[in-house]
Amino acid sequence: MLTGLVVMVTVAVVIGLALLRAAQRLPQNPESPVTRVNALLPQTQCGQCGYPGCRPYAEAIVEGSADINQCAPGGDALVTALARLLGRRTVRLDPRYGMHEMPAVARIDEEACIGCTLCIAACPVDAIIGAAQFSHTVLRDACTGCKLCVAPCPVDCITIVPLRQADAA
Amino acid sequence: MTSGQDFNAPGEQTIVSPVWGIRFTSPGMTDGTLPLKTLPLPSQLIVPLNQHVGIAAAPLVTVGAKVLRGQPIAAVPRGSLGATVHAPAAGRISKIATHAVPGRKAALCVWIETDPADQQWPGYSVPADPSAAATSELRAAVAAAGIVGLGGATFPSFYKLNRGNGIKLLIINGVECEPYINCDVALMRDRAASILSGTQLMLRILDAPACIVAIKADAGAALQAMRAALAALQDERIRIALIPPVYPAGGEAQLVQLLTGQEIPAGGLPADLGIVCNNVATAAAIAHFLRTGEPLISRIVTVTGAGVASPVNIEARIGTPISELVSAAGGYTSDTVRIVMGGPMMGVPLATDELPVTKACNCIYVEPAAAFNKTAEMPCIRCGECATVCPVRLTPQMLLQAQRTSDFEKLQQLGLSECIECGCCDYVCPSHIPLTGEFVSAKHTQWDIRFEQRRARAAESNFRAREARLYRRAEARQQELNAQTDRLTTNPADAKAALQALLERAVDKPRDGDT
Repeated sequence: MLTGLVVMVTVAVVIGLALLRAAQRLPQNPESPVTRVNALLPQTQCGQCGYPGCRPYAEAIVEGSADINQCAPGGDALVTALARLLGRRTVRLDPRYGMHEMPAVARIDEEACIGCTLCIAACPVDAIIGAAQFSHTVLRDACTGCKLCVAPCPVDCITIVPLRQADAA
Repeated sequence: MTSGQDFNAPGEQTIVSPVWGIRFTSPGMTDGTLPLKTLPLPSQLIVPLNQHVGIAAAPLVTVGAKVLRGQPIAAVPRGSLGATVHAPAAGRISKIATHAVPGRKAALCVWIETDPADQQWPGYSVPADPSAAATSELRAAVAAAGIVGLGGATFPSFYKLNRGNGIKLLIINGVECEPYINCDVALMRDRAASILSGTQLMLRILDAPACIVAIKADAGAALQAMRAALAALQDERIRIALIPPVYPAGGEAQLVQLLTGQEIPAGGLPADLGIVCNNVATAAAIAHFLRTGEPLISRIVTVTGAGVASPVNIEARIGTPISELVSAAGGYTSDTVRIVMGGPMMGVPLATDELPVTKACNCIYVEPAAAFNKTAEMPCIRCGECATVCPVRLTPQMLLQAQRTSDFEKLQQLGLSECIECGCCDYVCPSHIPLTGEFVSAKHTQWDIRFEQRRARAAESNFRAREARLYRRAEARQQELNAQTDRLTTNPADAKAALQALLERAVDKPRDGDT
C-alpha cells in the first residue's frame, strides 16, 4: 500500500513540475481577457450598457459584474461572439439597454447649426469638426453613430441617419 | 500510349477526368451544334458604362451628339482599373441616365438611336502588320479597344497582358463547361483562325514561350476547326489540350489545376504561377480589332433553354435589348418564364427582358414556369456528396453548419472565401438544401462584419487619442495653476497687486441695465 502511495505521489509531483515548467516556457496568449473582450465590442463608446465606454464594459464582463447582453450596438451577433469567447450560453440582447439598430451616423444640418461647439465636446471619437461661431460638420468615416451629440445640441440640428442612406446622400 | 488515343493529333494532350464536378448528360444541355447568326441592327441600344471590373466609365458624349460605330463614348481616367466603352453602332445619343444593368449595380447608361447606314469611326489606325508591331503598341491597342475577359468575368484584358510578370504559359480557355452555353464553341467552329491569330498576338505581348488551347473533348466540329486552323498556322508554341466534359472544368482555377497539376494559392492569381488565362472570345476580339480597327462592340450570346422556341447563337451588338434576342430565337414558349443571364448553374436571374446585352453576357437561358418548382428543403443527412463534387475541395456540409450557427470564425477556417459559387453542391444534394445561396449570404455577412470591425478599430484609436489629449490638457492646466499658486505664495507683493487688478476689473465692468 505504501509503495502505491509513493508511486502515486511521485507521479503527481513529476507531472506537476512538468506542467509548471511548461506553463513558464510555452508562449502564453499575450492578450489579456479584457483586451480580447474589448476587441469584439463595437467601440461606439456610447455608454448605453451603463459603463462609461467599451473598455470599462469589457472589464466588467471579465470581472463578472456585467452580463454579456448589454451592448445594443453590437446586437445579438455580439452576444453570440462573446458567449463563444467566454464559453457561456448565448442569450438574447437585454432590451433595457436599448435595441439593436443598423449602423448609423450623425448628420448636422449646417444651415441650422449656430456653432456652439457643445457637440464637439460631447463626441467621444473626435468625429465632429468646426469652431465657435462657425458651422460644424460630421466626419462620416469617423462617426460611430453613438448619439451622444444629439442631446447637447441647443437647436436640435443633429439627426442620426442609417449608414446606407448617408452613403447615398 | 495505346491505340485508343489515335484520335488525338500529334502534340495534343488529353486530360484525365477529375473526381470532382458534375457530368451532365441530358440531351440539349451539352449540345454544341447551335447555328451562329448575326442579329440585324436594333433601332435602339442601351449601353451600360460599368460593363467591366473596376470603376464605371465616364461619358465622353452628350445627349444629341452623333456618333459613329466604334467611337469611344465613355472612358476611365488613365491608370485606373476599367475599360473604354464604344458606340456599338452609328447613331444619335438620345439619353444618358441611370438604368438597371444585368448582373451589376444600376449605373449610367447611354441610349443610342441607331442609324441604318452604320458608318465606322475612322479614329483607330491599325498597324499594317500586327505581328511586327511593337508589343507596347499592341498592349495599348487592347486597352483602347475596351477588351475585357469575355468568359464572363470582364476583367480588363490589358492588365492581365503584362509581360513584366514573367509569364511562362498562356492558357486559352475554350472550355465552356456550364450546360447549355455554347457561344465559345460556335466561335471556335466558325472563327478558329481569328482566335489563333489573337493567341499569337497575346503570346507576343506577354513574351510567353508556350500556349495551351483548352477545348472540351466532346466539342466536335469546333475541335476539328481548331485543329485544322492550328495545322495551317504551323506554330510550335501552341498546342491543344482536350478537357473532359465535366462542370466546372472551365473555371480558371480548375483549368489551371487540370492542365498543370498546380493549385493557385488561396486569394492568389494564375500569374502567381507564371500563368495567364484568357477566353477564346477575348483572343478573337483582339485579333478582330487589329485587323479591322473595330473595337469590342459585339459578342456572341447563346439564347437557349426550354423557354425559347428555337435556341440559337446570336452575334449581337452590346446594348441590344434581351427581348430582341429572344425574338430572334423564336420567342417564348410559355407565358411565365424565368430569364437568366449566364447558364442554369451560375447565371444571374433577370427581372425583365428589357435589360441590355453587356460584354459579360455569354448566354440568355430561359426556363418555363413549370421547370422551376422548388422542392422543399430537408435536413442534411451527412452523406458527403457535396464534398465529393466540390471543385475547390471544400466541405459544404460543415460550412452549412457553421453558417447556420453563425460561427464566422469556423466559416473562415473552412475556406468560405474560396467558394466559387459553382452550384455543384446544390445540384447533388439529396435534401435539396440551397447550399450555394447560404454561402453567398455568408460571404456578405463576412464582408459586413469586416466592415464593422474596421469601423470599430478606427473608433477605438480615435477614442484613445482623444482621451490622451484630454489628459494632457488637464495635466498642463494643473501645472499652470500650481505654478501660479507657487508664485503668489512666495511673493506677497505680487499677490496684492494681482488682487488689486482683479478688484478694479470687477468694479469697472458695466452691468446689465447700466447706461
